Amino acid sequence: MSLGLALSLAGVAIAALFGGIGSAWGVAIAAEAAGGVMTEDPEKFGRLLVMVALPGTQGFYGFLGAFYIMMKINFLGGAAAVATMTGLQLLFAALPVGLVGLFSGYYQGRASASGVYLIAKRPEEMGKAIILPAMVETYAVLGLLATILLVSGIPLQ
Amino acid sequence: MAVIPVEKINIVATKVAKGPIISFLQKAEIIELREICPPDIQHCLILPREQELDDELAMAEIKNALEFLDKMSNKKKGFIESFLTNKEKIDEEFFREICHEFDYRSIVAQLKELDARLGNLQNLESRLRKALQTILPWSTLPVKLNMLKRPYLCITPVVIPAKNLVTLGDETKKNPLMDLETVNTTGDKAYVVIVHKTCESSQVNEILALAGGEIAALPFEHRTSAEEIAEIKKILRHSAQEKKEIMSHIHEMQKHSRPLSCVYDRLFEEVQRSHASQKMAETSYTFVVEGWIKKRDFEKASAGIKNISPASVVTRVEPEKDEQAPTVIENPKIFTPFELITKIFGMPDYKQEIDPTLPLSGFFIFFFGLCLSDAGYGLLLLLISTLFLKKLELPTGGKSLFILLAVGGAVSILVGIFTGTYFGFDISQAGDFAAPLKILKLFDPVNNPLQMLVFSLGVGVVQILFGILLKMIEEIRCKNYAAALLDHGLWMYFLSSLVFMVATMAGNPLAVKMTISGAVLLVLTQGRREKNLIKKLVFGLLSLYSTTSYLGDTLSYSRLLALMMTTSIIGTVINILAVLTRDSVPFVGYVIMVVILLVGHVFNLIISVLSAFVHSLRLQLVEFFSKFYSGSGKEFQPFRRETKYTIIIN
Repeated sequence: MSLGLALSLAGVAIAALFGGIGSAWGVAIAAEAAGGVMTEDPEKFGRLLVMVALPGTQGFYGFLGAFYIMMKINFLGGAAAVATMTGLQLLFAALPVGLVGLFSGYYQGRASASGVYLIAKRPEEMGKAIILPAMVETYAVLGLLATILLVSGIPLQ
Repeated sequence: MAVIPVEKINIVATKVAKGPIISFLQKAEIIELREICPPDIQHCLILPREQELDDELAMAEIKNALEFLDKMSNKKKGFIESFLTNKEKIDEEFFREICHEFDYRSIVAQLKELDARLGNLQNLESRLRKALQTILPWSTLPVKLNMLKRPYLCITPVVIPAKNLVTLGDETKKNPLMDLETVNTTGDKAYVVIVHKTCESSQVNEILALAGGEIAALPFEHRTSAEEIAEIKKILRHSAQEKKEIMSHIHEMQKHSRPLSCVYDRLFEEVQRSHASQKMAETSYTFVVEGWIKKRDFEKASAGIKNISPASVVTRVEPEKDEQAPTVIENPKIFTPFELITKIFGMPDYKQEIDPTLPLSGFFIFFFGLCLSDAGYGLLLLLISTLFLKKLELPTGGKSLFILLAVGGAVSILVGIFTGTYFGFDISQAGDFAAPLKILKLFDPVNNPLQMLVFSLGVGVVQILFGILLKMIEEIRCKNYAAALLDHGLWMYFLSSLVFMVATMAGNPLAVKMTISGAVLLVLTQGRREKNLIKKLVFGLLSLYSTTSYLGDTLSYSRLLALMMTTSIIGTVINILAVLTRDSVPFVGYVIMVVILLVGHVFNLIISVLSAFVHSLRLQLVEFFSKFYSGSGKEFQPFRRETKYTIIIN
């Protein structure tokens, strides 16, 4: 395996890894809050599940970024040779989705937890409770977009 | 499509007609009541408050009873059911009949008693079980339990870790007047009795502290352990029997849950009337109602009230200065589901703002389609939503939601056809049979994201400019012509020429000239509210800085591309994984492939629909509304019958 390919795979790993960690963290924060609310009112499960799922997207964005790099180097179809510099570029391109996913996942989890408390007291305000955590997610989307644009712009060879 | 005009109505009628008029208003649902306490009307507020308190107390008791019945019914609510209304439809006449005949007090009292008995039994059981656990290891102790502690001789029962038994034996042997007998050993614990002189109890305690044992708390009964165990078991059996009887009794009582709900809603109705009545002013012979009403409902209200009491007077009154009128919005039937989005943000201000429902509807549904962007998922969503709408009894909000999802699904089918994505499968890789669909594939967001990015941003520019245009219309309606032209008009001109210039890469001289002229005009006009000439210029220049916020808003639309790619790439990954397992797993490969496809695509559909909905919503509420809409209005809430458990139909 060439160093270039190894570096690209490091990029793949970073994207999937950090995005996944961020989401796991955020979902856990929201789920803890939801669990607490459900001790009082288990019937809110359906509504709360949506709130808990919200910080889960960073993991997907990370995975998506990872997969986009894999497609770029045609890894699943028997990897092409990747030049060292190209590999390094792909590694850097993976950083936005990975790192932004990590932190925005955590903070979106906290915002979702607040939304959970909002729903606990005023279930009719669910629309607003969903919108606030989505504000945080914007930056994860932008991170993903940056990664995709970078990856699609990097020339192979 | 808009905010419906409302006006203030004032009704004066004789007190005799108060009850019927309140009933009429509650049924008609046309007036939002305002509290009046004018100083010139003798305000003799002798309202039946006590009756209301009684009603509220009864409601609380019925609610407890219903909750108890619900808890005992063991009905598990499914995931989907938790979103549904649990109100039961009931005929008005039947409703009255039940409320009239049903003696809810005795039922509530019975349920309360059953609840208490059940609670007592459960307490008793848990205490007995604990006692049983303590005494069970001592079943072979042949002494009556109240004989363990005598004036001169004690038989002290002790629980000790089995490994410390030797230490305990050694310690007791030191005293010749002490003896040790093992009664039972289970696992790592030993149950022993120490026979000693009563006066040496403190010495026993010391030995126990040394050997790590403790005295067992056996009950002081005139029975042996074995007898005591039998006795406890007997009581437990009795209590289980009684519990069973209570349960069957409760099960029988379940049939009262419906009449109880009816009575609850009946009392609720009374309480609402009483609340409404408190908002009205009274004199010795008349009462006054004031409130807001839709202009077109005025005649209906007037006629209805005159019909009940011909002596009443119904007039229009001028609202007080600074009094905020409530807002009612009304849209053509196909657009009403979109009111859900407007209501999430807030109602339009009655005087100044237009109803944003219609302007946002097209954008919202288009964005939703773009984000989901898969013909297969779109079709699935359309089918599922239609099925839900047909089969399930949904509350109004839920209905709107599923209509939005169904329409969004339909738009996704179109977008999916244009991007050539079907359940994550790229149509251009299909065989010749799909030739017509291949031609329709106009965009390829996965392999050519830049094209789609420009498209997304372009859509954003259109929506933002549209938002400014709406603000301009609002200003013109409020006769702020200067603000309409100089603020919003100029910004529209400047921003559109800026886009024109960026689109032509500054290569078109006309575009450059337009942009510069726009900027100059903004600098000249934006400081017009300042008095000092220098301040005017500085503020004018600073205003150009707002361009960055417009830039930020536009870039926010790039999420359309990102979500589009998320859906299609995750779909693709699922397909690739499915094919990989088919090829690599022997024998059951096809089965696993089907499972992966089913679970994977359903999962992706749920996640993608959630994202598509949330982000399309956000683009409306944050990027679009911020241009023209504050949502500071108050929703028109007519006085009407509200129910908790039933839906009463006439």
